[in-house]
Amino acid sequence: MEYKTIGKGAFRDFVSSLIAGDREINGVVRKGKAFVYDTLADASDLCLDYDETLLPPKKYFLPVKETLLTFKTGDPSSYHESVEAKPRIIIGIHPWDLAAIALLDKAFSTGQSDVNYLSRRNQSLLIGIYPTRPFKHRFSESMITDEHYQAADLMLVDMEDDTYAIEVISDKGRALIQKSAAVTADEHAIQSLKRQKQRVQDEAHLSMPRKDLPEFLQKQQQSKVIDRRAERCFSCGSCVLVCPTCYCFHVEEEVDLSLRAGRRTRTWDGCMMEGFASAAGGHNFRETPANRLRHRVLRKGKYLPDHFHLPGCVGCGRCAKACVAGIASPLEILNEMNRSIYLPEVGTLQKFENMTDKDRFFEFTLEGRDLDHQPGQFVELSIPGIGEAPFSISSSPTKQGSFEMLIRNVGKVTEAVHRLEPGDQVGIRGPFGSHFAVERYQGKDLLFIAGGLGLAPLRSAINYVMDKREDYGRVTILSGARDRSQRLFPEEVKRWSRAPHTLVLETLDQGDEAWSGQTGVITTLIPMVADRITPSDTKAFVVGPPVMYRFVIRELEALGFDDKDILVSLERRMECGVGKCGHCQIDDIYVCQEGPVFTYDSIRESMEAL
Amino acid sequence: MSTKPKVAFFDFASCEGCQLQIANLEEEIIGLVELVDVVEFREVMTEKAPSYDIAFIEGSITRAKDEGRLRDIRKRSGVLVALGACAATGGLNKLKNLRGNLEQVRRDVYGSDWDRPHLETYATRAVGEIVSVDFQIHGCPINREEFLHMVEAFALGTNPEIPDYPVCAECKTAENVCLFHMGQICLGPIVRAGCGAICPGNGVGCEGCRGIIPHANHNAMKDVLAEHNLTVEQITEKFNLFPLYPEVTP
Repeated sequence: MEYKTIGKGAFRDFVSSLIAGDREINGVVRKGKAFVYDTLADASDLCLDYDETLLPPKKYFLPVKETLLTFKTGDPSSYHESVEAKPRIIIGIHPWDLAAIALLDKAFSTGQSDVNYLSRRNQSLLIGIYPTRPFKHRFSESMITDEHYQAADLMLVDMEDDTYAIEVISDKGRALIQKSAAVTADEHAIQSLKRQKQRVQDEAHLSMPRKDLPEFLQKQQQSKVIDRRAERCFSCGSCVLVCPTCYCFHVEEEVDLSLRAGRRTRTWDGCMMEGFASAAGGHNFRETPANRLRHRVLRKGKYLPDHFHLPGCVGCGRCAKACVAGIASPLEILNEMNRSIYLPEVGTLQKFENMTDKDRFFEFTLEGRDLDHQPGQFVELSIPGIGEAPFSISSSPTKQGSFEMLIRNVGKVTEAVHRLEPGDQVGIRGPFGSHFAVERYQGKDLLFIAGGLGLAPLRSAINYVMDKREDYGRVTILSGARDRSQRLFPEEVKRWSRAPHTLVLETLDQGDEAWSGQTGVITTLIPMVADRITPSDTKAFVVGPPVMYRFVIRELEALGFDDKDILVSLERRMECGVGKCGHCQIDDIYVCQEGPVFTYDSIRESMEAL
Repeated sequence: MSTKPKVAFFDFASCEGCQLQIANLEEEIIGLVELVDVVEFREVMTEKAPSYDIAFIEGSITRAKDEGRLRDIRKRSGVLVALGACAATGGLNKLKNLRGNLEQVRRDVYGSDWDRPHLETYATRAVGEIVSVDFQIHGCPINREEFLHMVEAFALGTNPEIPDYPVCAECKTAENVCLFHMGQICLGPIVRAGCGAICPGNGVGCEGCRGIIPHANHNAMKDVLAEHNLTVEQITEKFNLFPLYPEVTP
């Protein structure tokens, strides 16, 4: 590598001489508080000390709009190619934008050559500069290396002593800089240049090596991170329009007002805009913002690197800044996908009410999202300094904005949870596990059998059904408690019993003089509802203490229930929630993954299940 | 030259600013009259014609007796185009609908003369709420380039393409500094482009004259505006300046 140095004043004179020449000279200039690439009329307009330009220099090789063909209306033989290209020098390109140009060079020359792009590119000379200012959205150190920005002809280093050091990268660059007052750099200058070009460091980094991205993203196609972020997407296309590696375009025909002649143009387009993948006949092959965001992330992190063996995202951070909704940053998306499976997010206790002497009913919210759970799933709740424990979710997914859990004070985590006050924060992971798939049982009769705390997870499914009552047939709810003081959700139980075609029966193990309902164990209620149950058309949901299952299931089988129509939820010690720690295992089944909800036929033969 | 489409312009409640945009086309107007036969255009001529291939309607309908005139034009027209925000969505004229009591509106505007018969008024309607509309040209005022593009498409017999993406896209390609980054607010993320982002480009937040895009993410817009410290009332006011969301008309 050949190194030169030049005083800033001499460099400005050099730029003036270039402007006076016959090439177009482009460089970074101020636009209000922002920076843009523009044609230089005066060397003093050039501003090389900038954080980031609004658009990348791509616009000089792939203009926002250009004519591909001209034609006479109605005469197919009149189509004529149109290439507008002129020699230019672009001054002040950051390394990541050079890396992006290297990608575009490959994209437009691989397979069929795109002459419109390449003729402009081949007549250009690129003078880069190492960054002088931080930009909080930038993460280029994670995405590119020295070898990716060899598209430059010269690289400037601001030495902070009123000189630039220059790396001479190409012969074209050498020929150009020889016309300036630059002199060969001495050993001391070369040493400080190497320090100086590393001066500005990124604040944020990718949490995995870039080369792992394609394989990582292959497994992340269903990631909820995409769905959550896409909820805020405006489909405005800002992220792709400011991207230095995006090169998709839209081709259309324009006709003169005379209607006699016209041109076929191409204009920047982007996959994040709703109409991008729509076709005649009203089909849109990427219909939702989530479909589009998924495509964008995979194109940057996997498809482009797979095709061209170059980074598909160079980490400039323009998209993150341009996104009004604040969802576009590839760094944030990838790091969020790559977050430790053991890392909780913050939940806030909104309110609680006491249910029994030991049971308290809590309502939590998450920051910026719904829990997005299904009935029967659970979360892991953390109290820093105490620990983490699994709890089933009691609220229906139809209740938006918050979620509820009934928590009995029986251990160290639950004891700490009972000490929480509204506004206190906890850690939440999840939701995890299988669920009561009530959404699949529309039109069926449903039988819910809850023993004690078993009503907590079942309430999620029952309230889901109550909110969509007309979608289901007869609903029967059987609930048992030890005594009157242990009854759960008494007001809601009353409300359920008033719903159409719904029967609720309660029993207490020990009644008292104020109790006019049934007494006895829960199985005693089953014969009382046998006449309204058609087992072949009914799904039964059974949750309660371990001892309850055998007896209840025996009764249901006696009524004629098939084992696949009986759903149970099993309690185990689910420490990690993600199928790793082994504590919840029943034979070879991880309850936190395949359960906690099972159809009885799937665990009937298991030695450890019931 | 009798094969050229016969074109007419009509105005209802409006400032006639959209027709003025057309009258101000200058150079292109010569090309335009080569392309079409303008048979009625009160802004620039006095002739009348019995029927039209294309009728451009400017303005919204704000009193019962205008409905008859509009229906009559519809009957005599091949293609009917709502020209500008007032015709396409009701535009600023719909602000009065939010007040509810229209008698009070008349008192506030006309003072002691409020009950004179020609000042009759009812809840504003867009042209499409009275008769069927074939095409809409959005904007307050319209964009002349888009108008020419539409006329060309009619003359060629194709469907004109109008943007279905938001103003943000045009700000990006124009290299406008995002107003949200300058501490201002803007409805650009949900409003239909096609204006060349002229307001944000001049430092004024988009107010929505071209209406919202299909499937606009209005929840995200509300969230973003709230994050920029707008109250619910201020957000509603923003959404209502131009009627971005269908209201219940009495």
